[in-house]
Amino acid sequence: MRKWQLLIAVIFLVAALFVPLLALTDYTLQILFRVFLFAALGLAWNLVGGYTGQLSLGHAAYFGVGAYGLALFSKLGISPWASVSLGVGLAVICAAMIGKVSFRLRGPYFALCTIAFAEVLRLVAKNLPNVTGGDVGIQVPQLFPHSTIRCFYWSGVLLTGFALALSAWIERSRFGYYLMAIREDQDTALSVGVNAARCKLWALLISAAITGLGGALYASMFLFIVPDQVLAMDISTEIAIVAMLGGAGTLIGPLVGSVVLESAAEIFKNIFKEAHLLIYGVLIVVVVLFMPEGIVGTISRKLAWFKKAPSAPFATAAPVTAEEESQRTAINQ
Amino acid sequence: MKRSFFLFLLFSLAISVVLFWAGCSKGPESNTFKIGVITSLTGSNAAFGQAHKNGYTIALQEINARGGLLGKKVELDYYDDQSRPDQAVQGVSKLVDQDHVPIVLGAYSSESTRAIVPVVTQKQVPLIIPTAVADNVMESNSPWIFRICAGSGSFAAATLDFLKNNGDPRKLAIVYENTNFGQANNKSMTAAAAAAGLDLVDTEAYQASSPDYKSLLQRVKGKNPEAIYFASYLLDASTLMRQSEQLNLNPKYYTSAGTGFAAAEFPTADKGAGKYAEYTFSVSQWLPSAKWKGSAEFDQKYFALAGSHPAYHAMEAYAVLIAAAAAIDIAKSDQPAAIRDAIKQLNLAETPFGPVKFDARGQNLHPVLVTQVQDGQYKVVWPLDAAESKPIVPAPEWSKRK
Repeated sequence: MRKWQLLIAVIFLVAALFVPLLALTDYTLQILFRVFLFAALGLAWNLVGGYTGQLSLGHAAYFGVGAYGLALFSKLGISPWASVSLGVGLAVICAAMIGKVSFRLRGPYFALCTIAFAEVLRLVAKNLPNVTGGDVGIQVPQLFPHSTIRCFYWSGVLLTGFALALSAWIERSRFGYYLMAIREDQDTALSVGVNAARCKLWALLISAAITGLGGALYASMFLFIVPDQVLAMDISTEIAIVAMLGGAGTLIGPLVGSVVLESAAEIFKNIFKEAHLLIYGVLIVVVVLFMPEGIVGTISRKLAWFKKAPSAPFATAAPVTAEEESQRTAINQ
Repeated sequence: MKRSFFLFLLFSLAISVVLFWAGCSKGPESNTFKIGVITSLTGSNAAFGQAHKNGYTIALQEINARGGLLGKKVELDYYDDQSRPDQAVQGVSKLVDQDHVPIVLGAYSSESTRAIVPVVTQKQVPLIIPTAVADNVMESNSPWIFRICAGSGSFAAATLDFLKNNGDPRKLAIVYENTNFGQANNKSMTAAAAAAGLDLVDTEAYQASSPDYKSLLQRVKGKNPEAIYFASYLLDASTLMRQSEQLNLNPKYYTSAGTGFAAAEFPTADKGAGKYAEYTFSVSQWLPSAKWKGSAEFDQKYFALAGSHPAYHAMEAYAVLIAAAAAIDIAKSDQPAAIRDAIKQLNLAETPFGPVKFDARGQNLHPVLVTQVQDGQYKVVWPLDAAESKPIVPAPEWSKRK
């Protein structure tokens, strides 16, 4: 089963690699780049927010540090790709510091703490005009000599492939089971000997590295960044929504979420003009209402239920979803 | 899980088909002429984006009433950048790669505009900038970039020119909001003041939308400047003036880099600073009372359309579309390069926004006006040939005002 899944994922991503050979416009490729970029970011977020169940709303911090790392290190005369690695390193160091502090908190307090750190970084970037250029912005070097959108698209696909492979590996590793144990019940996990603090931190470090790399790619594509663009709350929430809409804690959920959200955002904008945000909001509300576990989570549950229902009608294996619960209450009334 | 994979594949296939279709479908040769517009219809700058849209709409009606361009009806192809630079960049790609517009107008903010400059240059499509004041949008020296409004450097120069000829104060303080707009104006004014030999006694930055500026104004007061130069949006401009009165801060000149201090709401009591706005100076690009032919008509049309009087942002949007149409008429072509060359040679002696002619860098040499709030109205006081009223200097001390 597992091999089949990976095989399909690999085929899908390899097929995606050949998409630019079709006669697509730069615009379409740019949207597809965004789709894959946010799929990778969602997969990275999923390690912390999905498997480990720690709701991080501050991933813009690592995204922005990756982006600014590329800009700042290359300003010092370091070659662009070396700057990317240094930027990613910096994002990981930031994650270590932020994680050390914020993982002491749980639930909503943790979420608030991550928002605070991202906001602090944004304000620092705004108020250091001599270093970051402040709100006037800073130039970002091109990562590809002939900076065509194709190269960005391919690197987006590769990043997604890497994040997907890593997630698949983690999901079935001992480490992954530790993470899921922490999500289900941190105290029980602690009592059976899981080093929760260390596991959560490692998950965050891996997540931050991928997010930082994504930030650097994104910045290089636009050639120019300002703090309100790459360190904004918008980025944090977009990453989290992509993963949650697709299905937090599922392997391909973030990928599905990104395909749906990013393409819907653009298609709606072209069709509905000024009303696009309204329609987009309605879409999110509908999915959250009817698919509380995300698209993939809900679909796989439904499939499992159909499959099991005839043989084991009274099986209690599948927990009751909110929808079924409400239906039952309706019947009882 | 396995089935969900298949479903996902099916789903993404459907999405790709839609995208593919969206990307490749190029409608049959239509009989409309499309001009691309990027502005902030939603997001934090939506109010200004709406002003842009109204200005574009009025210009569009005029152009189509005259018979359109190259015998075709003109259509504006809007892209909403949601007040975000990355969306503006995506917009250029959509307008140029998919809709094949030969010219782009926009964006609203300096941030978004700065972000699209490299992209339009790469795609070789002319861009006319209506409202981005920060001078870094013109730094690239790209031959595809044109700007119709005056920049922060001209704001500083006009203010200093006015001060020099009206009492010549020597001690200046700058107070600005921490945004691209504020920082660009601070940079320009600092350089211009140094060149003019002024004594810059204090520079204060503040965060957008903070409620209290008293400690900042207290520090300014301690330095005892003769003139203060503000770069602020509307809410902060109003609060700054109210709190200046409370602290009895009495420079001889309250000057500013427009925007908040030039907004129609600023001198009103319910939405702005009311009587505390009195005697403040501001740079301005245009006013409904400007002497250029057509200003009053534009004001009327705008009022009929939107139910309020326009500020200069709407006029600048109107002016870029008029300029673009004139250039396309001259070029007699829908090719970007031909239109670009026509814009370079453009020389419109009379528009409601004044003469339009771009210099070698692509900058329209638009004169900057200095206005003063007198009896709750903006009055042009500088330069002399455009002045409607005499400047009142120095501003009376707060204790001596009625």
